[in-house]
Amino acid sequence: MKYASIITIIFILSMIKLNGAEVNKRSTTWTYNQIVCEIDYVKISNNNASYTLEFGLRNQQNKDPQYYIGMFAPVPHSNFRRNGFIDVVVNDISMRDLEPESLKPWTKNNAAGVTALFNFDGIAVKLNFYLKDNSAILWCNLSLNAQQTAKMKIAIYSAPGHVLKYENKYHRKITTNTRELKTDKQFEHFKLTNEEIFIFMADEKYDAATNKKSVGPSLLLLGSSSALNKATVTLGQLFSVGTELNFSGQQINFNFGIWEGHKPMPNNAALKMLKENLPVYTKELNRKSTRGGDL
Amino acid sequence: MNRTLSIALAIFSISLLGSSMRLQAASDIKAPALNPVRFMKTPPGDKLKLISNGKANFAIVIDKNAEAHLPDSKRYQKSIGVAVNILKEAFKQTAKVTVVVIDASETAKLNNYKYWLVLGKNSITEKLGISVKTLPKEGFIVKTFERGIVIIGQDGSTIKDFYNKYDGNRYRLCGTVWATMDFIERFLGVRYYFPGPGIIYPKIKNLQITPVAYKDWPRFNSKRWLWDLFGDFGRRSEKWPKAWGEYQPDWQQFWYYWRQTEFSRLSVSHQPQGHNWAKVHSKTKPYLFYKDKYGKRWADPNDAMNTVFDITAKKTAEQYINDCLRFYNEGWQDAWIGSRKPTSEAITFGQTDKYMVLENARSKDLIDYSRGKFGTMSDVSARFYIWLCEIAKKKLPGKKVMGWAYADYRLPPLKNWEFPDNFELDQCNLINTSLYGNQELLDFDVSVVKRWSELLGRPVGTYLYLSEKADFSQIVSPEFAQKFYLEADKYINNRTYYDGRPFWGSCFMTDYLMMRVLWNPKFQIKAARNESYELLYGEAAPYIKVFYDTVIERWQKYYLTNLPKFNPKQPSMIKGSVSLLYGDTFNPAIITKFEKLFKQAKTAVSKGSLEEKRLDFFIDAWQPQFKTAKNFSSFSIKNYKVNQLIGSIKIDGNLKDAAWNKAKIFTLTNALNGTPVKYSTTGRILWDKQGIYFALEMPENKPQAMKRKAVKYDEASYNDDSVEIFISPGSDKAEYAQLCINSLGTIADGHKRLKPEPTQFVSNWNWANAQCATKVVGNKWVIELFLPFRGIDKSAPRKYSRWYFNIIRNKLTAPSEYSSFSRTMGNNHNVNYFGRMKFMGRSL
Repeated sequence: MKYASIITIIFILSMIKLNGAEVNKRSTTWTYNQIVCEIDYVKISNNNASYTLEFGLRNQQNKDPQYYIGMFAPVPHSNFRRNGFIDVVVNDISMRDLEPESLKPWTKNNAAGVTALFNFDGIAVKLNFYLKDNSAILWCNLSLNAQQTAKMKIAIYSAPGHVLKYENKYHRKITTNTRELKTDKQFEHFKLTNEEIFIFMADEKYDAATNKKSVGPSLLLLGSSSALNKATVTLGQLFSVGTELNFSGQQINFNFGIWEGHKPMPNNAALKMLKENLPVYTKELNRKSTRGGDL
Repeated sequence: MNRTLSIALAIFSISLLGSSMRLQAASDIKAPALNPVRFMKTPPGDKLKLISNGKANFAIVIDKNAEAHLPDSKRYQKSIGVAVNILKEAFKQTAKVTVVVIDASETAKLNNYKYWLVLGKNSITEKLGISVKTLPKEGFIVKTFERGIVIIGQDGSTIKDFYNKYDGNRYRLCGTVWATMDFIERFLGVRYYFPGPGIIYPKIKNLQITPVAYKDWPRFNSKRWLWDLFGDFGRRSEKWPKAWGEYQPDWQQFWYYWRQTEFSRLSVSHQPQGHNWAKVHSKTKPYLFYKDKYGKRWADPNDAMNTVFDITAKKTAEQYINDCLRFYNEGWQDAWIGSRKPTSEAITFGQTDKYMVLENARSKDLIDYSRGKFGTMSDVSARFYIWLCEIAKKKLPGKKVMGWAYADYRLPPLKNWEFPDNFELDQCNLINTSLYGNQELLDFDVSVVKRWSELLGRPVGTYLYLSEKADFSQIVSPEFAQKFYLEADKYINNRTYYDGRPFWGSCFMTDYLMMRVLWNPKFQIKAARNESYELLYGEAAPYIKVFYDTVIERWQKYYLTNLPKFNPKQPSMIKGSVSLLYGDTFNPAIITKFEKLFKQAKTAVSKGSLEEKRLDFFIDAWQPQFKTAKNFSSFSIKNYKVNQLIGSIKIDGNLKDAAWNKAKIFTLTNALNGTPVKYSTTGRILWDKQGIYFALEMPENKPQAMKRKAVKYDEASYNDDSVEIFISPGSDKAEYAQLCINSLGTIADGHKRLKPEPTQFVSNWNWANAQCATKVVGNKWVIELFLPFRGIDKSAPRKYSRWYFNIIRNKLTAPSEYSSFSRTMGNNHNVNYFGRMKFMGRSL
């Protein structure tokens, strides 16, 4: 009996471990058409989701190398794309001109992720991507530590549904937790309010409900920060929907989350599912820091 | 007869018939792979059975005294004697017969032979009324008669005093040799592709010649590759391949086999010799040499490349004519030691081999920068040649003045100068021949030679540059050279040269075909190519053909269609990028295909066969090119993070400042292949808003033996044990600066602009306010260097931006080493192989 209990406890503990997240990193070099990419793939997965981030340095003849953070999986060429979905600029220095000082995978409790540390001319900026529990959201905590007030801009891009136009036109539509946004203009900037933390990005024609070519929609969740001055989203006849966040401060801490479906999901179904979980997401968005994987 | 045996015999017969047909095809006198000659009315008579069952029924008949008057010093001008030897050798190798040579007057001996092979002018040709006098220069006739065949050409050797004391050895009129070569190729089927096993001697048991008569003469009388064909054997101290041990190293014979000659007393070169003229005149007449705006007088008695004639001044023309007068009147030759000299018909003037804009009060109104690098000095040069001609008319009546269009006076002047009638010109084509498959570029060069001929009122000579160093580009050049000659025919006189090709081992067909084209621009190149594959490589022929065809096809389809844009108003020596050449056109997959083809070719030939010998040589010759192509693909730009300077550095060569500890260390590796070197230089670089700081440490096993001849600023420190630093500011590679530093701290620096249009490399440029200190410390020497941004007219770069750079060390002491930060691929100045320096921000 005693031994049976021990075995049961061990089994339960192992099950708890299995329900947590895992991270796996591998490095490679990839050449195509005279472009050489030195890439670190970091796969973060749990029972509900698996994301593979691509941290790459793109070397092209006659051009300066460019660093990028992309999403190789689940969908490489649409939504949050593998050739880069996030840009960070601090005091006019772009992350593209840097390489991370370090890139460290980590696991802690039920979370697993990777922390990229960048040096923007003496200012440390950490990007901490992670999965937690069984949540399908890839969370990110971004922190900035500076001696003096710094200006930071984060841009996050997604090409929802498909990268191609439908009959020569994009039909992008955004649903926030308070409104719907779409435009007939070439492009239009929409200023986000403090309440708008849920940015659901879809294409009305590339809807998996009616179009087999659709890869499904994507979601961006935005936390809050006293350093956040302005948030805008831009859409129109543009390849990607771009969300731009402008910060200023000495110590900046900002949480956000991204989601894209592992199978093409109809827009309405995805929206319904994600909205139902908004309270859970809000809790994570309001966390002070992950504490997991910090250097 | 048994059925099986019958079939076997049939197959055997067919194969015998096939091999004899092959022999016959080789001696098909109208084969398209042969020079197209001018056939005349067929003479009467029966077939001449010169060889029957391996026995020669003929003798060679000559006038043994015809060339006896030639002094030994003129033995190179012999023709008939040369023709006899070549002919005898050809019959020996093909028919295994030793042919007797008889004098035309020895009637009794003559009657011992059924047929006569009459070589050159003699009493028999006179009796037959066969004369080559009225043919164009170097013309010849081959004509059968009842008793044999006459092979006769215009020979200077048979004319008393034809050659004079000013003629060089390559000035030769040897039409009988040309006639003999044609006869050998046409009737014996011999092919001379390259020395040793590259000569094809078909086996001949029976030789029968049907009555025939034809004549021919070359389009060009001066027709040659600039340097010594196959002179690689001598010039590069290359030894005769061991595998060719049984062959005589007879490469010099190819002057004859390929009918290469300079039958013109007009030619251009850099005359007078720059350093010789400086030796003679620089002390007493310094004004003959250009003085630049920095005060440097370009007159160096030791270095022609450091000498520039002042062609802005008429006095220079006057002096040169006076020197030529001394040459003719007194035999004085000091200005031309070791170089070409004036001839009986012409004097030559050619600036030293430099691009330099000679700007001063006399020239400023004639200098035209708007035309780009190749036309800046055209009008200055034109004026100078006119001065020369006017003075020559008075002091050297009857002599031509040879000039050339080269360097920055290559393009025709825009002004309508009236060139005197004693002026002759050879012009150097701007565009590489291998690019003439691009019609726009071909049209441009044709228009240039046309314009020159319009200015002179007569055709001009022309000089083709086949290509850059890539062997692939050489393959296509004959077809394109042909295009040029045909389209520009009426603008070109009888002089042409070509230059610029790598080792002949891979490109012998280029030379073979070029010499054919220079003889007759309508030569059927494709037929000659196709014929050569089987003759040289037997069963491996299909694979070699695919190789050549692929190179030609890809060149046309990929390289020529992706060249940079050409601006005819500011023309440049356009060429495709290295990445176009090795990244696209001959990318790794294609190289792999070529390697596979060669492997297949090797399995197709018999071991130890002649075909295998030729194949091995050919395949070996291509390995360096394949290696270069693969090296390119494996090349990736090296990056270096330049940390910010914290504190200060004193440029004293001590390298003791604590600030250096914050710099990342790099080492130099083999400049060609990136492998480690034994005496590897280490380096560190830092930067601040003022400039860039370098600390370089060079291990040296023989510090006392280091070459340190350059002592003054801008002297040739690059010829010493030295380090070269190249910097290209910005990320667009628009320009670069070079500093070369030896262990004495002597700096030679220069600058070159690459965009928007390339300019010449300016060696009298300096990086202003650079500070440098060097020290020899035990078994190493060090350089500590500061380069201010302002010194190159730049402001401090943005943090995290990148510039391009390279550092190269020339270790001359034994063992010598050539090492670099980024692989140079053999060309230090190629910015495409520079590494990148990234200007880092503050650390965390």
